[in-house]
Amino acid sequence: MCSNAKCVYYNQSRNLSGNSILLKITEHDNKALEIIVNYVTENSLHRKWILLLLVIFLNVYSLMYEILSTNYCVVIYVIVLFIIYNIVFTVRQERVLIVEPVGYQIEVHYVFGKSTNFIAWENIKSVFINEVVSKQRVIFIITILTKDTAKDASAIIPLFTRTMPRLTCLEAIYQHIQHCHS
Amino acid sequence: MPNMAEHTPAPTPSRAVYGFAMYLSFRTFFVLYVIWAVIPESWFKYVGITCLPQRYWAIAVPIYIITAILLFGFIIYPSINLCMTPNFNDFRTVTDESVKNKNHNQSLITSEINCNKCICMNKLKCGQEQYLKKSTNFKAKCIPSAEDLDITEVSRILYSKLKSQ
Repeated sequence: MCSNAKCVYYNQSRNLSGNSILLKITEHDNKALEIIVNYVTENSLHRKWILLLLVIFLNVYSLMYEILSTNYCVVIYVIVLFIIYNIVFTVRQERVLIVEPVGYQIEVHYVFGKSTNFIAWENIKSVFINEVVSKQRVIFIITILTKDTAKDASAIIPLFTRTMPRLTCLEAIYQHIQHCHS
Repeated sequence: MPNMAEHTPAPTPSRAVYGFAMYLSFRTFFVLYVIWAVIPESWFKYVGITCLPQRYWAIAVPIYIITAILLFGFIIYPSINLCMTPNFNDFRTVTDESVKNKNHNQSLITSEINCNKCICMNKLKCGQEQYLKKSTNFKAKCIPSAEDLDITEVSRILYSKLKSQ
């Protein structure tokens, strides 16, 4: 089944940390809205993997032939493990899929795999742009206000917290979501 | 009225006296401190003063004080502030408990309603409910009290696409 996807917004800009991000909003069949924010990397991930493999190989070599003492080798191993952990859990892309009477699906894509979160349409009260204090800086985050009927309390779910687009991108996202809601 | 006068930063005769006394005492203390720290011990012995603290403290105490201030002001105090700020998904970033009362701008003309809970069998015939529903029974306060704006409305006004654009 082929869906009629129409790209309604496409913009490349910088996010809060200075990295280059790409914002793409597409409408599927006039019923579903998909918002994708992904990092534009200059393909440096492959270089990092090659460098890491080289370091591991040299480490094993030096351990076997006792070029470096065992203490240094263990320390290098721990540092390499830490770097691998950082690289594997780097966020590549964040997606929000809005289907009108069904709900919101929020996905975060890592290097391997993704994590998803779903919010039903009845639970959503509204979407707004919030100003939050984070590490001695005030940033704008687009958030969903939900009513959790089980606990009878309002809950706040912020979107795009890992990619952190700036206000112009957030305004565009907000206007498209408003258009979808109304 | 006398309380209000005490809180101004304006100069008063008593403050001038305090200021001058502090100036004299601190200046004297500073001169004595420098003399104690700089002059060699043999001169003190010649005069007859033998019981003075070690010169080590002339350098150690200021350094202790400066280290404590640095540690507190640059590490402990910012850490306390960072721990106190709410998370992104905390509801405290949107509002707090000061938004509980309704009818902020209005107060009842008559204050003779002394029962707050309605015990009527039929709510539609309850006189208090009918009274509270009529807006002519309220009068607007002169200065409206501070209230929190609804965050959805604020976002809509600030960030929606204007029709003229």
